[in-house]
Amino acid sequence: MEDKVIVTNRGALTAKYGPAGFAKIKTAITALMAADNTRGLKARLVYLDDAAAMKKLGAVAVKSSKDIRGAKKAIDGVHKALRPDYLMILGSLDVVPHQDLTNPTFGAGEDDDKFAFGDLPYACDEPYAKDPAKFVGPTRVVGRLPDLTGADEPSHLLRLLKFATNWKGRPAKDYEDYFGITAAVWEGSTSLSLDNIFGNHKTLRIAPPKGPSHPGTDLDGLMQFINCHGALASPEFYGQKGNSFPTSLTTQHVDGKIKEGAIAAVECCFGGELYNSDLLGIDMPICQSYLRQGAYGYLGSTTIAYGPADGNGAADLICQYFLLYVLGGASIGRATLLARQDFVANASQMDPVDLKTLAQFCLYGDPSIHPVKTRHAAQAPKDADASETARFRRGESRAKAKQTGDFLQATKPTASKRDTGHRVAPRAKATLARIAAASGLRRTETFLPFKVKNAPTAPPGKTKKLATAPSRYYLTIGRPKKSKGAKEPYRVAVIAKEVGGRIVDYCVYHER
Amino acid sequence: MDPSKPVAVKELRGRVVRGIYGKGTKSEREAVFIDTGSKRYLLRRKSGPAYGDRQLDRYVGHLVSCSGFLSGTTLLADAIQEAE
Repeated sequence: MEDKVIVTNRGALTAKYGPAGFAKIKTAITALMAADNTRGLKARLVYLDDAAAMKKLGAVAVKSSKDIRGAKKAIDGVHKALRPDYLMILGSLDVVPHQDLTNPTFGAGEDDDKFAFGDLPYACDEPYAKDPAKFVGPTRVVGRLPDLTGADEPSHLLRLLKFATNWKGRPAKDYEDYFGITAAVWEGSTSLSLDNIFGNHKTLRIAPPKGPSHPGTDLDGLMQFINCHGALASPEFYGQKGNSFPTSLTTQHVDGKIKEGAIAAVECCFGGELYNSDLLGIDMPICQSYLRQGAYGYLGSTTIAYGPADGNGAADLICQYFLLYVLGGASIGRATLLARQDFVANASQMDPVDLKTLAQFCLYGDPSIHPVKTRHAAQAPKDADASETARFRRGESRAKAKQTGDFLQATKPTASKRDTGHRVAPRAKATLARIAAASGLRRTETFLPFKVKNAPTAPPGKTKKLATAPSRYYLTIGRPKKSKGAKEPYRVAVIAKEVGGRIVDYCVYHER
Repeated sequence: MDPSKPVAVKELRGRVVRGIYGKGTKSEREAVFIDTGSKRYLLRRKSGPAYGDRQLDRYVGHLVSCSGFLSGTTLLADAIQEAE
């Protein structure tokens, strides 16, 4: 029985780095597994493309590193056979691909991400699918230690493996200091996030004027919360004040400033995109720079992310939950699993924005790392084997996570599919027009209908109660009318809920 | 498009227009696009900032020819030349 399984693709690594480069990686993995062993974790390396080894596990080997469906099936087979407490994917998306979940918000406004790429399905027992609604019940502890996409020499990956080999837990007080930075327009939302995590936002940096250079010890904080703009294939994050978008953080400016052991939760669009910096001839992604400097974990988004300007929602929440669980002593992999589960559990229903958020956030780092040392409430007897006790506790924790994940998958209402044939009832149409007008939009704004699956219906009987979930969502994204002399207003996304042909509730999200 | 493999393009022609990118998302902003007639790509200079690159303003309204990489719906341009 293995506690931790490392999965990778030998053929893809050899093709990238040659036999000599691969041999160095293999040596580094062996050192990592030996270190895990001294920490009481029995680790095993599985090559997803090794047909014979996979067959012994009753799993199907991948034929190509580009085969997304095959990678899911292969990892599911390995997980089913070995039931590890930790599953670590080794390599970037040209070694083990991200899964290709469809983006439910694609085309609703101008969100042009056809897919919300990510590793969420690897954390779920459900078989391969593109519909994110199939993956609202994650049960597995999964993280990815990525090499550089398109690289041809392995020094980056070797460095990351070395940090994973030598990691050390620190007292909770070491993680009390944080680096927080926000685009000025999202100051309200980020302040609230930091209050929720750290109990204060006194050192929040606001961009502009802060950035991209952060002098002295500014970036020393072991906990990092970043809520700025990001862009596809860009080694830069951006602040915002009005129509000005100055750089707030860049790969070059963080170089040499991130401390070993740092944990980052990054809300920025594309903040976790593993783009091919070699081919593009630009600096490596910021996430890779963090890992290269010894950050233990980095939670970021592969694509365009969502969140409100002042309150908290979507990306704010999943990032907060992750950091809170890390502070509580969880491994970074378990913190990610619990953050995903909390994100689903705390949503009344998973609307299209929630589904994209869940799909797009990925953990980079060895999932078995416990950054914060904590004492366990239960005590082991003196004659007990410490690793056996730890294994038992992990088993309890994974069983509970499995129950929670299965429950969420079976019961959570989701709205991932456009209800294309649906004709809006006249009464609902009139209400939507009024909501649009009240939100400052044109009364004729087009609302896209989304069918809600798993919605509980109102119980029959004399006491007629309203259903506890909508049967349909309507979504529109638009810019409120400009009043005379005013600045161009920010856009709003309006999500309305329908029950039995009537609009019963709605929510207005302000653009970031 | 395989996200790990941007596609190299040479002399992609189109008209440069201004528009809104990522309506309603955290990325929403006024941006510059290249409209090829059949597709519209977010236009960026590889060496320039992804947000608010004023160097692109001079191409707005003009027909241009670009070389660089297509990644998703973004064109990362190494070179932009006016074609009219």
